Amino acid sequence: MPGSDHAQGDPADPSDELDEARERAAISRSQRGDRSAFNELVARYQSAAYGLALRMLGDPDAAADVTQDAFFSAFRNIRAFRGASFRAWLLRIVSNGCYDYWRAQRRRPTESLDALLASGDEALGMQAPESELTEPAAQPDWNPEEAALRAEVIAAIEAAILKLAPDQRLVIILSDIQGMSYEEIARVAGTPLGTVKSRIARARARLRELLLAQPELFPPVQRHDVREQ
Amino acid sequence: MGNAVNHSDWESQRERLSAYLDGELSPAEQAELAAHLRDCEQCQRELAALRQTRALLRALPTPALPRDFSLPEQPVIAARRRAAPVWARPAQAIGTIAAMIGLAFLIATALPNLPHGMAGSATSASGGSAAYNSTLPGTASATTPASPVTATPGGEQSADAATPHATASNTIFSNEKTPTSVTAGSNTTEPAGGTYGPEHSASGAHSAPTQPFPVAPVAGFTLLFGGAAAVAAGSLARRRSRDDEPDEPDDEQESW
Repeated sequence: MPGSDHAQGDPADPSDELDEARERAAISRSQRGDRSAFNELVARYQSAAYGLALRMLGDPDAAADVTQDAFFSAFRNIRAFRGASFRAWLLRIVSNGCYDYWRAQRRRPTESLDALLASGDEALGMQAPESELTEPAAQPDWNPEEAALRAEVIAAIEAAILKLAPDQRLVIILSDIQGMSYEEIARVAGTPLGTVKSRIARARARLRELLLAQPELFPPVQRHDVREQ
Repeated sequence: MGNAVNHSDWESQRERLSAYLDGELSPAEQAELAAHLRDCEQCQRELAALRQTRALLRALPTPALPRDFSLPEQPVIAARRRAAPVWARPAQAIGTIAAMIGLAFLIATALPNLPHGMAGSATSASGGSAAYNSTLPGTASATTPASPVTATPGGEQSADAATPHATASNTIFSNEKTPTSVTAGSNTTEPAGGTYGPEHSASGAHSAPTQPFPVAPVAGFTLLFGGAAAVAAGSLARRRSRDDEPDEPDDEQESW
């Protein structure tokens, strides 16, 4: 990709002006208790909400429950919303729901969040990952952004995401899957911008390590690809 | 800022590259790093790796929704919960009074050797409770007041007013799935006034003291537990409706 280093983090901003006006209207009607207005917001954001919950939890049933609860909670509390990004506000409720779900799971003997967290945290920043990238690639023109991913590649990426520590998982989902700006992510995660920045970088590095452990699926990156620019 | 060229802190250099990829650096930092990248192979490799990782994530398909998450248009749950406070507060208040009266009955009758003055007030109280007991189907014929019904209209009234509330709220409590709790709570106060009249004649007719029935303890227990149940049901319903209200100080709403 020659000369495209400034590739913006955001894909098209989901709201052009008309949409934004409609959203604001739907929000203020929802704040007066109008459920059908709120359901316009549900229709608009349920994909993002469920997507976040699913990528966070890795379990469709749990993700659906968390998503539904989040919408109920959002409707109950929507009068408290005033401000910039409804999406960020909503996704914060979803992500809180995910953490609550883990907390509840931890109380059960069958599943251990500690084990989950440990698998995400281990080996973070322990090695210099760039050494692995010097190997020649098997498929020089392989470009995941253009090619549709094969099912086993998708499964491998999803599994790798679930191995990240939850805090890193959250920011990487929001930035790279949902295409949100750092500022919006900071609102969802409730952390300073600098923390978002470092978490995203570490999450990407860690993900790369995990994916490179399967070279048959993920050919190492091309050096000449970068030099060309 | 010679920082961008300093690889000794690789972690923060990678952080900068990652933000650069997302266009999240300041214009000055962005330009500086672009200049550095022209010469630094290590940073070029890292940037390409970061970009490829991001591309993989972006290429993930959007998961299909398992269902529509729209809220039901008829707020069934909300209506039921909003209804609770209508009767809950009176039920609590009256239940408390009933329970206290019941407790007073029990204390009065549990002490066998009372001083003269207190014994008198105890019997008049039991007379009042006889009137109350006679309205109950099972105990009507067996009621044998020790003295004619004369005194304590205030206590009697509140007892009569209290128990229908207690039972009303009990019914609501057990049938809480039906959405009619409001009407149930307010309607059942009427029989209290309706049954008040017949009590006097009923208790007056059955005034032959054959065998002492433990009227006061029974009434005391009834009032005590009925009142307690009303208080419990009332406070439960109110707590429920409180849960349903938006709790403002939730931390997730503060910064918006």
